[in-house]
Amino acid sequence: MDATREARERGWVDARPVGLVDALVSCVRLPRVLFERRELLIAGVRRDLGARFSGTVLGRVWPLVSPLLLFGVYYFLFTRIFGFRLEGLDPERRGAMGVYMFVGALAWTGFAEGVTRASTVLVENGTLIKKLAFPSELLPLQVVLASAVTQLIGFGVFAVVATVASFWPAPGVALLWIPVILALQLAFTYGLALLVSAANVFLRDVASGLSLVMTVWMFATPVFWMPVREVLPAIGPWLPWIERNPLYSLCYAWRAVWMSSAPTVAFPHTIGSELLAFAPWAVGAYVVGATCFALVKRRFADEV
Amino acid sequence: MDGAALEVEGLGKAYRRYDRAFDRALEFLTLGNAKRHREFWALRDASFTVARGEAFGIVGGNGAGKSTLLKLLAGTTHPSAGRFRLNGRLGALLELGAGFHLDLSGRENLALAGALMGLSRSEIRAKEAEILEFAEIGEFVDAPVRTYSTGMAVRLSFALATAIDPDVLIIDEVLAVGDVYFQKKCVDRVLDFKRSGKTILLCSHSLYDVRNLCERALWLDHGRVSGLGDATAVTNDYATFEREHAGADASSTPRPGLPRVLAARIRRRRDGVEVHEIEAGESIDIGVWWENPEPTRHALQLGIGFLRQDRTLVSAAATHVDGASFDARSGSATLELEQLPLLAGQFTVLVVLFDGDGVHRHHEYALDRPLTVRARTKELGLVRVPHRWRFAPLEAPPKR
Repeated sequence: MDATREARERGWVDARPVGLVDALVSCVRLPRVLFERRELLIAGVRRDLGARFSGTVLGRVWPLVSPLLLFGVYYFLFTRIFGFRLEGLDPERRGAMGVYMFVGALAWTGFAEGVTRASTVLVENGTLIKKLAFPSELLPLQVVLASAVTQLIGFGVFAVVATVASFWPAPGVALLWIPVILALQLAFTYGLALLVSAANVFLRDVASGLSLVMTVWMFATPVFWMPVREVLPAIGPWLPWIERNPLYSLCYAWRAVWMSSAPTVAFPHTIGSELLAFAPWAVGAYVVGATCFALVKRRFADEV
Repeated sequence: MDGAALEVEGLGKAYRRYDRAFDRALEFLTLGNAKRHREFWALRDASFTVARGEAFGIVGGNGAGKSTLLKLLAGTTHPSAGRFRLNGRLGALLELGAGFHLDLSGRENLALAGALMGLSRSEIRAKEAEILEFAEIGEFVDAPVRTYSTGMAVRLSFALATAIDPDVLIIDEVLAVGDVYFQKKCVDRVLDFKRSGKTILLCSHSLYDVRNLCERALWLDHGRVSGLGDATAVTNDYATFEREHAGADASSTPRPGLPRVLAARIRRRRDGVEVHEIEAGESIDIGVWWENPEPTRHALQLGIGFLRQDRTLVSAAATHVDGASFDARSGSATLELEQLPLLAGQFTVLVVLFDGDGVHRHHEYALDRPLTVRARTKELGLVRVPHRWRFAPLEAPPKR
């Protein structure tokens, strides 16, 4: 063991398989590797975002259009048509349901789109992996970051519109939570992204199966519904299970930020306790994902 | 081994082959406990050392393991056996245009590919002017790579790979593309590299390039080392071996009732022995036997040519060109070739029976084994043109 390690330090590349210890070590070193390649990463994210709208007349305006439209629809649908009104709302918070749905949908999409697109990213970039030696961990991170950026643009649009049109009180100190929530969300999303992207190299059914899983997961997450007895009386016995869903905590945290935890009926917990519940998921997902990825990544070039 | 740029010890690579996608899934789901693959060794037991500043050639047929070896060294795939060590920064030109995005401009691609190779943005920017100057793509630099000609894309990636100033440069079949002018430029740059003490690994189908640029060479066959040593000796051995592959498919199928070649043989003039291998400059005679079922209907012309392996006709003799008339009945002929001026290489010998005008071809017959010419000298080119040198001091500038 010591002999091989010493040999490796002197620059030998050998056929020794990657063991669990090596994989765990590389999982600790990964953030540094990614940071060293940040220029490549940024360029990749930019290209990823740019490619979606390249050749369109509106170009960079498009990413702003979709959250605006989305918000308009949610606001209109859930506040005006379905008349989801909560008891004891301030007059200035009449749009609460619309904001609730919108923020939840953005948080969900930011996560789900990253994982879903990551599942195929290694296979799609097969030629790159075969021809160039670079850390393949960058590829899933690129799509995860791209979808997170889309999500943040959505939040930004919301914040500006809410302030300018003054239909929703500006968020307060809760904004300070954003870096924490974002970091945990990225760790969780990236962990799952690493896992599914690696698995899909060997079993192409993973990507197909994943879209089904994501659909079920979305409905199990309170994106378009409110998991409180006051709104859904029948929810009672299911609540402990629903609250164990990491995405429940994530959506909850984002909502608490943008809605300043009001109306109180929708926020039975504190933002800190939700993040405390989410943090182990985030760390766990990252460790499992990065370790599994490190165990099999050597074979990518042969299998894609 | 301090002077070594590359040390390879027992290196091997096995690819896994699965008969069905299901097998791969099963093996994956059982975490490799259910072995459902067959191993295919693309490279096995390769051991060699390349000294710093040496140019080292790698030759072999398709599927011999050359690309696998280079991929292992470049780090895009990992060894299944053995080990290797590279000392210094590696520049790999595995495939031209690899990593180029067709929709991005040349300049953007440069930044991207450079970043993939591990260069920082400022490093790339510092090299940009030099790269663009070498690549000579002019105003196309800001146009999408989609609009580039093959030559332009090739130039850009060659310029990039060599501009990063690697200590060890891996070149895979690159010198064969692009126009002659650019090929020369590439070769010049490779020679510059060599002169500045860098190490070069050159993988090429062109035995000429290997012989010309490299001191030593490795010959791979079916994943194993078949030869290792002096570049001229190894490429000659390889050329000799390769004769089994060439030639046979150059023949056409004779049609019933039409004239056909029955046989053809090459004999060495000095002892009359039938040969498939000669020294450059030897005299040979090529004998041809044919039959013509209906001499009254089908007049004949006879041609004998030497083809290079890429099917380029190097030289040919034909009766209708030479004005040599002969009887159209079944018979035989001998072509006498004095001091054959072909230089080292392998040549398919093709015998053609034409109609009387020398236009329509009745039958093309390639000798089942190509003619291998071995050169004792390092003369360059395909043929030896008789020549001599004269020198004189400069008295006046040359007049037009």
